[in-house]
Formats: sequence, structure tokens, C-alpha cells
Amino acid sequence: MFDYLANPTRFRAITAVILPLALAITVLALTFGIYLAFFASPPDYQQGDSVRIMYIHVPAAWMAMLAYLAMATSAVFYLVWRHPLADIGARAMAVPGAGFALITLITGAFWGKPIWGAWWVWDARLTSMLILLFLYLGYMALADGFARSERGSKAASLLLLVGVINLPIIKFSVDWWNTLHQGSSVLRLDGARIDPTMLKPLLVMAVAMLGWFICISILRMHTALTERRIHAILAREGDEY
Amino acid sequence: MNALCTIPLMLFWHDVRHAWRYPADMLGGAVFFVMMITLVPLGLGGGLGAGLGDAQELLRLIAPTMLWIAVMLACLPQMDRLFHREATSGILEQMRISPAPMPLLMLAKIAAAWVVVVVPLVVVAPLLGVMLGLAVGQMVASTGLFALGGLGFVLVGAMAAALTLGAQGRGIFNAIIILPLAMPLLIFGASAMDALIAGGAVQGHIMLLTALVLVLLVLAPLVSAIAIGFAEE
Amino acid sequence: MTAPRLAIRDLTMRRDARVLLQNLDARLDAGEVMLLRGKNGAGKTSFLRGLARLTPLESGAYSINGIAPNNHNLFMGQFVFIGHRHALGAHLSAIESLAFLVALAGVRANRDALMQALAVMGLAGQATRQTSHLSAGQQRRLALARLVVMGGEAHRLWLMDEPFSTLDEAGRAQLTTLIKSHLQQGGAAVISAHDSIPLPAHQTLTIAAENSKTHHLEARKWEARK
Repeated sequence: MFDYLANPTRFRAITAVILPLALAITVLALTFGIYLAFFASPPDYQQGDSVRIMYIHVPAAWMAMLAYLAMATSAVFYLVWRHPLADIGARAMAVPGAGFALITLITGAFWGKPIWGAWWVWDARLTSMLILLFLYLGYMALADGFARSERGSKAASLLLLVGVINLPIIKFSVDWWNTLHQGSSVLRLDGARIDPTMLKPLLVMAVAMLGWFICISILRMHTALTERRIHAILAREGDEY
Repeated sequence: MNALCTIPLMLFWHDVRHAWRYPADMLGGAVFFVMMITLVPLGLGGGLGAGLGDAQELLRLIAPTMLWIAVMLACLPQMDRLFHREATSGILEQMRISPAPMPLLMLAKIAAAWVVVVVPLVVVAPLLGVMLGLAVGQMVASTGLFALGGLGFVLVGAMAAALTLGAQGRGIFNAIIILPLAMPLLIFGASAMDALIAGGAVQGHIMLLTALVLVLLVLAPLVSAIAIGFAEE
Repeated sequence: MTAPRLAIRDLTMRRDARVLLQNLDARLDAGEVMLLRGKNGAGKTSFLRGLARLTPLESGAYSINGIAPNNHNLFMGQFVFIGHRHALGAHLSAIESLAFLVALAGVRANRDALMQALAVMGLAGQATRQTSHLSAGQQRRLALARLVVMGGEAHRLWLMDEPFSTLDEAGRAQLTTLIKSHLQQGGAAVISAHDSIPLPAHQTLTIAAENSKTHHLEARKWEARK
């Protein structure tokens, strides 16, 4: 049997250390990253200054995928070991995760307009990201869709696992569809071709986003824990009348 | 060992017979399918009525995709109801305390849903394809594709139905959950049909579709069984 | 058979944050009835569903005929669960529904046995009628008819949730006879009811709600009386 009280207490104690640390890293990395991205890196010889969108777009895309994997890992802990904190964690990560997916899509559109001449292009990566956003939305809808929140947690966790199995299939099918329907005219950044002056701000921004994600997730978990305690207290009071 | 086979088989017949007694369940999807396909040429406008070649060509070009989307949209709303009646009537809880394992019973229900939902669509599909300007031979050849893809949609639909069982506003959830899961089926299915019509190499496409359906065939009964366990607690 | 029909050891059960029962020890032997009592919502249904493994239990162990619940295939053959809901297919005839329910429980029965069971429950004339056209009382009788078909399986523990509700006088008498003959053959039953049942109960388990703020976790207390 899980101790419903001890674990959240320990969690608060541990996060009391992690939270300021993550916050400090976020602030430092973000400041440094913005400086690098806007001042200390050259404009692309083809794309000009619009390449700077990449420093938000690409780390956000990484984070959107990382957050989903982290949620799926939490789901395993929740379903197998019935650890309520794992569920709270997954729910907490869903909103920033979906946010990252959305940021990726929006910055992608801003980037695409000058480069491709259209706000939206059915590029394989953008389409995959759109599907990932749908997976996030499905998770959030399902988690909150039931009168009993425990039921929502279990169903949504199961959906996360199905999603993780499906993610490679979706990715593969979209890539495959893309090669069928579109030529190679799409301009893409090749990982190997990237210049170190561009790679450095990219990585620093990625660290900043990871730190921000950790901060938001922990804060959301704290809020959820407090909310549960309030509900428990209200339920107890309600029994009296 | 014997119960492992006879109970799921019996459940399969029960479901098929139940649908047969109330044909609206069985034909609803096919009617929806016919209506959707009928509306597309009407929506494309006057060019078709005037017999202009361009509109005819456009229709022929989008026909495979249209047919696949229509099959998907005709299947999925019906799958939404797959466990609803059983849950409220108490049949689902009797299934859960049957000696036969729940995933096998789920498989039986999915097989029955395939017969009830997909087979009528597969029967009408060639007719509609021909109306969209595809050749008779091509359409007859692609019925197998529809049967296979339809099985995939039924599997995805069963998972979604089990996950959303008892949720408020089930229909909307189903749509959000199903879309990412059903999309690869749509891509592989429509492109297989494209290849079939273009006379290209179809085998690779069919194998991809089959592989995907096989993965779902393992995944869906398991996930549905677990999800129903959650729902009924 | 030496194993008791039902053996419960140190069982704790909760629903959401509420403890329904705590550290329950109980034993039911062949020919015995356990009567579940308690107010609406006290947890009678949850307890029965827990025994049928439809709802997870918090902790503790129990077995039916010495068989633990984790042995799915075997365990599910050790009891019959009669819930609030009748599990009837709306578009099927009475006899088809009965055949389905019996087969789902893994029991083989021919048409004669099914017809005979319908006759015992006073439904001989309704065999080919669609179940959705039957009255509430008739539907309950139909759901109970599977007990007649499975009458030969005396080892099965009958888990019955309010089986006497919605039955008329004749129906109650039929059900009483049915349960008594099951007990005489060495069967046992756990029956929930909120009013008196026409049966001698060997054990009564009462779920009593206590409204006490300080003892919240023990608000639902189980008492076993011989």
C-alpha cells in the first residue's frame, strides 16, 4: 500500500531544492541564449535574419517530444505501481508539453512564410508535430473527461502508452507519405550542416526551455497536490452534514 | 482450453445476431457512406454537370482519398457505441467474470463489429468508386484493401470506445483520440489504392497496411480489455 | 471438498478515499448464507463486486472453494454473480439471452434445459419474446433463470445483489426455493438486502455508517456476527 501522505511530503522537500536550481538555470540560459541568438550569431546566407526563429522553433520541438516521453514514463509508473504522484506529474507536464508543440507549429508558420511563401506547408515534420499536438489534446480531454478523476487518470495513462507505440508508426507513415507526395524542394536544415556559431545558441536555448519546463511542471504538481488536499478536507467536512 | 475458443465464438455470434435483428445498426454506416460520397460531386459544382473533363478528372484524382475518408468516418461513429449498450445492460460485467480471458472476448466483439460495420461498406464501395469515375476492375480489386483497412479502423475505434467508456461528451473525445491513431491507416490505405489505380507496384503498400493492422490486432484487444477494467471499477 | 466455500482474511476495501471495510475475517461453509446489510451507499454492492473481482480490493486475501482470484480461468468458474443489471441483449429473445448468459459463464446447456429453467421461473410462455418487451419483474426472473440452469454446479458460490427486489410474491417464493435447494446441495450464497429476506441467515455482515469526525477512516465499520 502506498503511503498517500509521506510521498508528497518528500516530494515537496526534494523539489524545494530542485525548483530554485532549475529557475536559476532557466534565467541564466535564457539570457545567455537570447544574447547568442540575436547578437552573437550570424544571419543565414540564404534565410537572413529569419533563421533566428530556429532558436525557439527547434528546441521547442525537442521539448514537445521529450515531454511526451516523460509523460509516457510517468504513465508506466502510475499504471504498474499505482503511484498517484506519477499521475499528477503526467497531468502537470501535459500543458507545457502541448504548449511546446503549439509554439513549434506557430514559429514554424512564421518561419515558413518568408522561406516557403506559405504559412502552412504539409511538410512531414510539421504534420507529425500537428499529430503530436492532437495526442496531447486527446490526453488532456480524456484525463478530465470523467466524473471520477481516477478513472480519467487511468484511461489517459493508457492512451499515453498507446500513443508512444503509435508515435514511430505515425512518424514513419508521415515521412513516407511526404516522400510520395512532395518533391525535395523543401528547404531543410541538416543537422550535420549546421555551423557551430548556430549550434551553440540552439543548445543554450534548449537548456533554457528544459529548465523552464521543469519549473512549470513542478509548480503545477505543487498546485495539484494542494488542490487534492483541499478536496480531501472538503470531503471530510461534507461527511458531517 | 475448450472454453477459450467456444466462449469468444459464442460472443461473436451473439453480437452478429443482435445486430441482424436490428438492421438500422448494421446499415447506418453504409447509408452514411453513400451519402458522403454522393455529396462530393455535388459540392464540386457545375463543371461536372456540364460534363467538363477537368472536373471529372479532379473527381477521379481525389476518389481514393474520398473513399478512404468516407470509410473511416462511416466506421468510427458506429464504433463509439461498441461497449455502451453492454456497459449499461450489465453484459460487460458478465463478460469480465467469464472464464474466457477478456482480451479474447474483446477480439470476438471486434470481429463481430467488423462483420456488422465494415462488410456492408465493402459491399457498397465498388459501386461508389465506379460512380466517382474509377474502373470497375480496379474497384473490385480494392475491396480487399477496404476490408483490411476497415479492420484497422474497427480496431482503433474499439480502443477509443473502451478508453472513453462512461466519459462525458464521448463523441468529441473519440474524434480527438482516434485521429492520430487512424491516420497511418488512412495514409497507407489511400496510397495503396492510388498505386493500384496507377497500375504501379501495390505489394509494398499492401504489406505496410497489413503490418499496421497486425500490430493493432495485438494491441487493440489488450488495451480495450484493460480500459474496460478501469471503466467498470 | 474440505476448503470453505468462501474464506476471507484481513480484507480491507476502499472506494476513492473512503474505507468501506477494514481487516475483515470471514468464512462461509457449504450450506450457509451470508446476509449483507447496510444503508444505501454503504458498500454492499462494492463488496459483492469486489468478491467477483469486478472491483479491485485494497489489501488482504480471499478464496472461493480454496481457489484464489489470480487463477482467472478456474476462479471464474467458482461463483455466479447476479447484479442489479440483468445483462440481457435488448433485441434477442428470452431463450437466446439465457443461452448467451449461461454460455458466457462457461456452462453447457441444451435447449431442453433452458426451456425447463424458463418454466421453473414462470417464463415458459415468454421464451421467444424479445427481452426488451418483458416487464421489469420478468427480466429479473430471466436473469435468475441461469441459476436454475447452473443448478448442477452446487460448488458455485452465489453472489447476489438485492435479488429479491422488483420480484412479486410468487417470484420471491420461487427464488427462496431455488436458494434453499442450492444450500441443500452443499452450495452457499452471499446475499445483500435492505429489508428482511425469507431465508435463515447463518451470518449477517452489517455495514454501519458512523458519523464521527475524529474516526473518519473507520467511519464504515464491519461487524461479523455468527
